[in-house]
Amino acid sequence: MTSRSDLSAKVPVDGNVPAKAFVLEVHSDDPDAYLSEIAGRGNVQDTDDAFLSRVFTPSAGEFWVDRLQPRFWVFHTIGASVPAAAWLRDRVESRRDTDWMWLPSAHLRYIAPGALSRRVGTRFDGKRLVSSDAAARDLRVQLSGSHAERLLDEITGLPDYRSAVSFSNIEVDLSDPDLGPLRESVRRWGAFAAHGEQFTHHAQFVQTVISRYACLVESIEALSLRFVPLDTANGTTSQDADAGGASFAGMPIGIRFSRPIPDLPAFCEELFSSRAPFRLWGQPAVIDDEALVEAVDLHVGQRIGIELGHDWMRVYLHAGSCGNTVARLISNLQTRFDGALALTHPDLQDAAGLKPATALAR
Amino acid sequence: MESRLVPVNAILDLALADGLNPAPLADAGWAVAALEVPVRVGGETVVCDVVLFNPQAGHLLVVEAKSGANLEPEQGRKLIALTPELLVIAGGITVPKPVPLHCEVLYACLADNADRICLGADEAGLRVPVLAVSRSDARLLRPQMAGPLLSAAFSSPAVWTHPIARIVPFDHESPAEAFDQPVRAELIAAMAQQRPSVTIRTLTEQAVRHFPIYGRAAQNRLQRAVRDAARRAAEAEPERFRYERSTAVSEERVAVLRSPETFDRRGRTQGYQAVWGSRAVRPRQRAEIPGQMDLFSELDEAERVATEEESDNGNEGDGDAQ
Repeated sequence: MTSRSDLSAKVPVDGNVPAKAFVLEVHSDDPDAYLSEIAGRGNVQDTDDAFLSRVFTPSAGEFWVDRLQPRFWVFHTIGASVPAAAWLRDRVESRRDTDWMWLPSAHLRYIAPGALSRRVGTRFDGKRLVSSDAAARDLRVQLSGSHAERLLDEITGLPDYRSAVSFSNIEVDLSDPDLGPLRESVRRWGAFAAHGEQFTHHAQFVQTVISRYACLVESIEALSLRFVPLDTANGTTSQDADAGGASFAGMPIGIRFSRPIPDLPAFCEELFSSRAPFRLWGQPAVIDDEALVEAVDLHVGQRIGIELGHDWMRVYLHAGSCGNTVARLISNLQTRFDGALALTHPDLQDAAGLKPATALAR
Repeated sequence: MESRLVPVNAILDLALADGLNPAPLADAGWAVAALEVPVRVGGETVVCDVVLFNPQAGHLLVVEAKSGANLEPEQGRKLIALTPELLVIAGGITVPKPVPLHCEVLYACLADNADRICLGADEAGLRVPVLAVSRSDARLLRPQMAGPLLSAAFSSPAVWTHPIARIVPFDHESPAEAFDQPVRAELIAAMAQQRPSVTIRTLTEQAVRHFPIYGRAAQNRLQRAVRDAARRAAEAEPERFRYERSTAVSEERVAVLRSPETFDRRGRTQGYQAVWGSRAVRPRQRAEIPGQMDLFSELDEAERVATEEESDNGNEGDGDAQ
């Protein structure tokens, strides 16, 4: 049998082929059964580690699946990234309890502040949501060089262009006296490619990124709207069956845009068209300068309420809904409409917009 | 939002520090504890629309949100008679610090009705402050009758910078069309989850997220409204949904006859767009496929495969009928 320490040999980071890691967000009460279900019976092999499994797929080859974080599974492989991503995409799309990890721009910008950024990329595509009159409707920048992130920071400093800057990918060099050098390339949908000396360095890096993202998702879910019948909340049974009453907690999640929505009906038509990447279904009611919609996140099949104004959005996430829905919305809005958007709740903004001083601490 | 529901939603918004509208109640330390709390007082039950608790000050704020212009004197006298202890017990409120408890009653109403509410309070001998909510702000009337914490919180009007949040977007008295959007959204969610059917009871609890706040009579009215909305939704899409009455072996429900989830990616998107009205689907160009020669571009093709939308955002087609 294989143990966790064997992973460095199974997924070497010092070979000719980069080690890849893909992170999926999974909701399952029975992880073992779930993994067998998505991988296919007979394709999952246990290891000595209760949280580590080997999965063999006919199309994508071998994955080593680390479930140490119950909600965020890491699929390690040295197989080709295209079939690996395709296989995982099919799993994600066929399920309503599985999704990618959707990193907000700042999680990439500050992914490892102590490290040296070697390459950065932004792929801002505002063709569908940004006015054709805008100074920056579509922006693709890819830069290689020492402290490559500084170029995007410079562009962010230009008022006309800051809303079109969203980190989509980054490559950084890390160095640790014990673990050696490591080069990591990270995509906003939770994909990693690494070269280095030690697998554990790479694995720890991935876990750090996941932990920060988990913090964001949990912060979002902490604000979900919850109505709990008082009988349940009090642990009693009401003698008055006709009475209602419920405890209440949570609040809507506010987003403030740095650029105005040019045409609210057209914006809504696109946002709620069921198309990727948002995959939101809805029939917005636009009245004056406000739009209301009971939307459905088709990724997970859950309803969310959304209000939109000239330069703001309010999201009503209900208890039991997945915070990944809002994280995905934020990440996609950053790359499609406004890379400089802000969350109005200070805790959420802290969790989504990591600053250099806090990035590594989380 | 229906004007009836403005006062209660205004109170909730003023107590939610979500960073959009001003939240003087939250800033002063209050948080919403419970809604529609039935409290037994003097052998009778009085229902408190909103109960807020300030754990630092040990202060409970009981809000009567008036949907109209009439104040009921008897209800007001019952509210005045409430004690903090009764409210804590009835609302299941956790008191984290051993501080002396106090309670206070606040009436909230539309600004247009404020004069009549104040007059009604005077005639009933109720020395209560009134929060008048208009389209532009919320301001405290009769501040001399408010406790120092409350009057300080509203020393100046709270000016709305955004529309009032819709925590209670509709209720059992709302018009039928208020139920269409949430019911249809829940039916689409059932489609996306590939559920074969959803019972009217479940649909009601899902479509009316604040369902638990209501008593049985109101819940029954809500269920009827949801049933009617579900029937309308099914009748408008007979090939996709069917309303089924209850039988000896099954509850009344809406059956999902056909879900876009059974189609390929392109058909799926267009299938959802077609439900309850088609959408124009704009043609779009295929994105370039970048190279994958080095580490930085190693994941480019994988990213395209995993997240690209071309394959499910195709040109105009004939919906999900393929």
